[in-house]
This record gives sequence, structure tokens and C-alpha cells, in this order.
Amino acid sequence: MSTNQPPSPEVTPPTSPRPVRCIECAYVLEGVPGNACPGCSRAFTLSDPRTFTTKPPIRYFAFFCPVLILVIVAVFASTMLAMLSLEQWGWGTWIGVPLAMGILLGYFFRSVPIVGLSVAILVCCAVAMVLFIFGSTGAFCAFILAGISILPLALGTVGGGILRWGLKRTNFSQGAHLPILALLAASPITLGILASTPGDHDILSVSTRRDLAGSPAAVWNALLFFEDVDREPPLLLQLGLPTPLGREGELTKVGDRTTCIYDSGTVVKEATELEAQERFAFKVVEQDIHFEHDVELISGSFQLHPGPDGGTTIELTTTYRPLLGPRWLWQPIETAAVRSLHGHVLASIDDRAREEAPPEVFFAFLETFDADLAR
Amino acid sequence: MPILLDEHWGVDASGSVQVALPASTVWGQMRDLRRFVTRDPLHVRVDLLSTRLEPGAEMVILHRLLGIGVTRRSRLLRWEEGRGYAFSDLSLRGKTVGFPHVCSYELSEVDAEHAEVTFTARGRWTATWMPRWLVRLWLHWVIRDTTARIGQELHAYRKFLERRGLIESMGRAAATNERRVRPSRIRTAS
Repeated sequence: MSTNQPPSPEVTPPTSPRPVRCIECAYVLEGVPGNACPGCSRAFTLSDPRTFTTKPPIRYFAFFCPVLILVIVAVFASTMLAMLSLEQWGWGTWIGVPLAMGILLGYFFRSVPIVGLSVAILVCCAVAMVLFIFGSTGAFCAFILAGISILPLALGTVGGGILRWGLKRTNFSQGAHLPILALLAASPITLGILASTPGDHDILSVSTRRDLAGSPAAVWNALLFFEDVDREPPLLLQLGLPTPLGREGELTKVGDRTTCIYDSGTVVKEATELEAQERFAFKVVEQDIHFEHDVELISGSFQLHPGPDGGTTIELTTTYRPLLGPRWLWQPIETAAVRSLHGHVLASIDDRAREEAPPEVFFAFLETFDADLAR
Repeated sequence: MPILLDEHWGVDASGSVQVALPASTVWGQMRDLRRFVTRDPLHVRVDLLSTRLEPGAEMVILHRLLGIGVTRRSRLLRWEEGRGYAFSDLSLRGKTVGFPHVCSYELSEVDAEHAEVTFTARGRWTATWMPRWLVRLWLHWVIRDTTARIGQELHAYRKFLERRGLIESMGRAAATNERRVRPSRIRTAS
């Protein structure tokens, strides 16, 4: 068949969705007169299915094999690394999955530096947005998770591009990977089932100490919860924590409970220690604010000491059980968020103590307590 | 890869790819129009409405991008055995809306062992609310991706032939489109 010759009137274009092809060179034979392939001259007979095929020469499933193998190896390796070295299977989710996604993007997008990486960034942001929209996590955590994912996603994208570049320069038969693919596929699945128990982290406490100008009595009268602060919280708290809407129930004695209401749920706190002008402590008895997969709130306390120049040294402590990993990444972030919350609350306490605000909200029993002292 | 968008929103975009295969061998794959046209990233499937595929035959082309798209009507305008073909790509809403254009796939012989496939889209861009730079970017991506997929398909086909010993391996240099003249069991143009 020559491009320089006028088209033969006997040749007709193929109409079948899977036209007949030469069994040797896959030349499309439908509509070609005669019984010899124009490509390789192999004889064929349309009445004998053994002399032709309808399968195209390009097997796209086989084309996918190398990248699928690389993806499985990458996820398997990251999961194993997490399990053996850090005892943290969560890496498989937030490192291995972006890595696998990036490999697929780099393999299938020809222009890795521009299109591939751009799509990788978009995918990363889209995943974080989906998590936030569906309430799986807050905006701050979604932002952090997107940041965690972007590096393995970018590395995977480059890796997939390198794989494609390398395979183009070899005569590698992709179909031979099918048995290897089946063998490797069994390993991460089995590992995933065995490693399905979440990590169990130690309870942590974060304390913030500050010197306030007010007297211990004034500071005691000015104590309040995060939910009672009426000033706008810092940006970190706006992004990372649910918005407090108010509180129900007063704490007059040990055992009393108060329900803190947020835009995403409630937290119930119970007073455990009440030593006037010295210590107030509480424990969290119920938590339902859609953060249950991130952190388990345990308790909190306000410790007062006489400070310099007649002031007060106050120490605010928050105790929680972290549920997120890897700890080397999340702990500094959690600490920063808790300290920001402490600073927000203590600043308000300081302002109230300076104004000698009456004990309106927090301790309703103080008037009774003072009256008892006077008797 | 010229992308021309004139002042009346006329589009003339084309891209070409050279492959280390004889033109006649490449044509053996291009003949399968219903499959070859799906190298365009937006063309998912081509359904033939007529009984014969000849100039004037009506087709329906399923357009999809990330699962979203439309079905458009088409008509085979030209078929030159061994050289190429062209077809229209029109919106079901009419021939003056939805970027009416003509797609063509042309095959030319570079030398005895190399061929060039040129993909061209000519028409009128009707979504004039879009900024021109965005239209050019879109067309650039479509042309570039189409020619890349065509090159990828033909490169993979060459590997297929090499594995079967139907064409001598030209090594890595051939894979990078470096020109060499080697004997081949595939009949070249005569």
C-alpha cells in the first residue's frame, strides 16, 4: 500500500468498531481487497478466523501494569516503613496514597513539570476541600493534611514521569508483569487488614503560665472558659477549632456539669476540683464536636499562685489524648493550637481581672461562698 | 504547532508527530478511523450511523473530559486511502454553535522508514465570552495531547512489531526519532 499511488476503488474504509486485522502485524484488513496483508504480505481469509484477529495491537491494560506495580510497591514500602520504624500505619494513608496518586499522574501526563504537577496540586487541594466540606475535619486540619500530601504527591508525579521516560527507551514487554502484579497486590491488602488497628498515643498535657496584674481574688472572679470569651479568637483558632456559641449549666460545686455548645456539636465538662483562689479543675465527660478522630479531650485546670507585686501567676493546663500521626508532625501543631487557645483565654481573664468584673458567668456560687466566710 | 485564532474567532490549529515507521505501516493503523479518532483526549467513542463509511457518512462522536461532556454529530468529509481523512464535528444544537469545526488526520512520508501524522482542527470558536489566551491554551492542550497520544500509540505499535521481529530494532536512537535507514520486513512505499 503506497501513499504515492491513487487510492484503489476496491478499497473501502472499515466500518466495524473492531475491524479485522492481520494476525501478524495488526494491519486493518477490513475493506482491503485480496487475501494478502498489505503490511507484511501474510495471507488471510475472512472465512477462516485463524488467519486474522480483531484485537488491536496496543494492550492498554498491559500499558497500565508498570505504573500499577510502582504504585503498589510505593504504598507497600511506605506502609511497611511506618509499621516497622514508627509503629504508625497512618503513614500509609497520608504519605503512601498521595505518593501513589502522584505516580499515576506523572505516568499518564506527558508534560510532567507543568500539567502533571499542576494537577497534583489541584488534587491535593481538592482532597482537603472534600474532607472539610463533608465535615471529616476542620479547615485547619484540612490545610495541614494538604500540606502533608503535597510533597509525596509531587515526588510521585516526578517518579511516574521518570518511569514513563525510562520505559519508552526500552523494549520491555509490559504484559509479562501480570503475574508479578497479582503477587504484589496480595501483600498490601493483607497488610492493610492486619494493620487496621489505630495507633494508641500517650496522654499529653500542655500548660501555659502567665503573670497577671490582678489579685488572686480578682483573677479567680475573672476565670472563664474558651466558650465564654466574647472577643474574636486568633486566626489559628478560627481555622482549627469549632466556633463556640455558648454554654449551658453553671458550676457551683464539684460534680456540676456544664455543656459547651459549638457550631459543630457539644462538649460536656464536669468540675472536679474547686479550691477558691487556688485551683479549678474539670474533666471532659462527653465530646461530640467532629474532632473525635483527631483528639480526645481529657481534662483542664486553672492553677493560681500569688504573683509578683501583688499580682497572680496563673497556669492553664489542657490534657488530651492525641489520635493523629505521625507525632513528630502533629504534636508541634497541636501544641501551637493549644497555646494559642490558652493565650486567648488568659488574655481575656487578664482584662476581666483588671476591670474587676463581677463573677457573673463563671462562678455563681461565689456570693454564697463569701457570705459563708463572713458568718 | 501553530495555533491560529483570528479576529473573527476562526480557528486553524494543527500538530504533527513523526514516527519511525513507514507510511504504509502507519496507514494500516490509521485506517481504523473509529479507534484512531479516539486518540483525541475529548473523543471517547465514535458511532457510525450509516452502513458504509464513505464521504457523507454520518457519525456520532462521544465527547468526554473527566466524565463530563456532550455527544456531537459528525460527517465523514474526505477519505483518501493511504493519505488521510477528514470529518466534521458539530454540536447537536446546530452548526453555528458549539465550536463547529473540521478535524483531519493526514499521513505523509518523510522517507522510506519514517512517516509524519498531522492532526488539524479548523473551525470557528463560538464561546467568544472566553478570553482569547484561554482559548489558545485550550487548543494548545488539545492539539498537543492528541499528537502525543498518536505518537504514543504508534510508538507502542512499533514496539509491538519489534517484539514480533517484523521490524529490526533501531535501538534507542530510533525511539527518539533519529533518522536511520535500515532494512525492514514491512513493505515500504514503492
